[in-house]
Amino acid sequence: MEIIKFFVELRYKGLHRLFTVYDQLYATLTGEEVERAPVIIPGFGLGVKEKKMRLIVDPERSVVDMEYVPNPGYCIDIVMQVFRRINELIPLPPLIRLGARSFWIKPANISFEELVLRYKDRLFKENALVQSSVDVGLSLRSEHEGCGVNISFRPAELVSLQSLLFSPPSELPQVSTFLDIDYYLRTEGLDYSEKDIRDFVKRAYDFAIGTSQKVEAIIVEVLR
Amino acid sequence: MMFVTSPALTEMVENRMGVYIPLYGRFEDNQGRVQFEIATIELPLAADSWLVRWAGHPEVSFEDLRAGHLPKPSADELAARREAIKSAHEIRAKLDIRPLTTQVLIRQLRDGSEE
Repeated sequence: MEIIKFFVELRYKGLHRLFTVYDQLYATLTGEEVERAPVIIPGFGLGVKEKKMRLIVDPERSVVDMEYVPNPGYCIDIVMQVFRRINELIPLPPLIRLGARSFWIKPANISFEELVLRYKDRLFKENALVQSSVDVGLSLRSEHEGCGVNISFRPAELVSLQSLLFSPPSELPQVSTFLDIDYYLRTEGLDYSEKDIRDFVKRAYDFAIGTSQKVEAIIVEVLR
Repeated sequence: MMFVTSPALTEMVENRMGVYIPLYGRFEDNQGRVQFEIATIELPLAADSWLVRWAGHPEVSFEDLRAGHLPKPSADELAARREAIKSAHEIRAKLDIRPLTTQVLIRQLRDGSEE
């Protein structure tokens, strides 16, 4: 299968101090904490056209979103560079969730309706609900080395794929199998090092490669 | 739409990200986020720190290796490998080299011989 998107999200336990500057200013000037709810300035988005990349730095999370994914090493380097720079400006808070999600496709040389029929025939037990459905998909939850994994795959049409991407390539297939792998670590408030994030991203990417190969083997059977 | 007024955000974009954003490029997106669009960004990769020199394959880069795209051996390399294997076979035949298995080792230790 071919990877078309890879994105990593750091979700914070509290608010990133970058976005509560007025409260910090108040505390600095008065020597007291603000008693009302914090004033939060808007999140930040940066689109990088040539790299087909999007960076989101919000009060409660940061995301590096890539739609140019040449190899795992490139992705890990980019993710680490971005988080390191944000952290250098104002340190990131402890995390409650660390996630790495990827989208994969496997083109199908048949119509969407035919692909749905084959999914129904090979992957589902026949019943009234499946029979009457115009679209199907599988959603699975799994675990890997202490991390949670959400895996889903389904037949997809071109328009549906395009809607999932911020920079869709022109050569996307008309019909394909779409695979979504969400690999995450949820904690109460994780203090982490750069190495922890790097290891997590690498583990998530390696897991996604292995899963995409397994799903591809299933799809080959479905299409046979 | 809203113009950015936070120096912290401006500093992050202009100094940390290594790019200059003209003022008119700063608007909110539909999620209330202040959105910037730029052409590219300098993010040094490991590939920038490593230079790969593969004898006979000057086209191979660090990124190729990292992506697992290894070059196919050239005709010269294949011929050299064949020659090396042939030489190894000849040397083994001349020196009468036989594999040293566990059984052979035990026999040699028991008998005190090297036969």
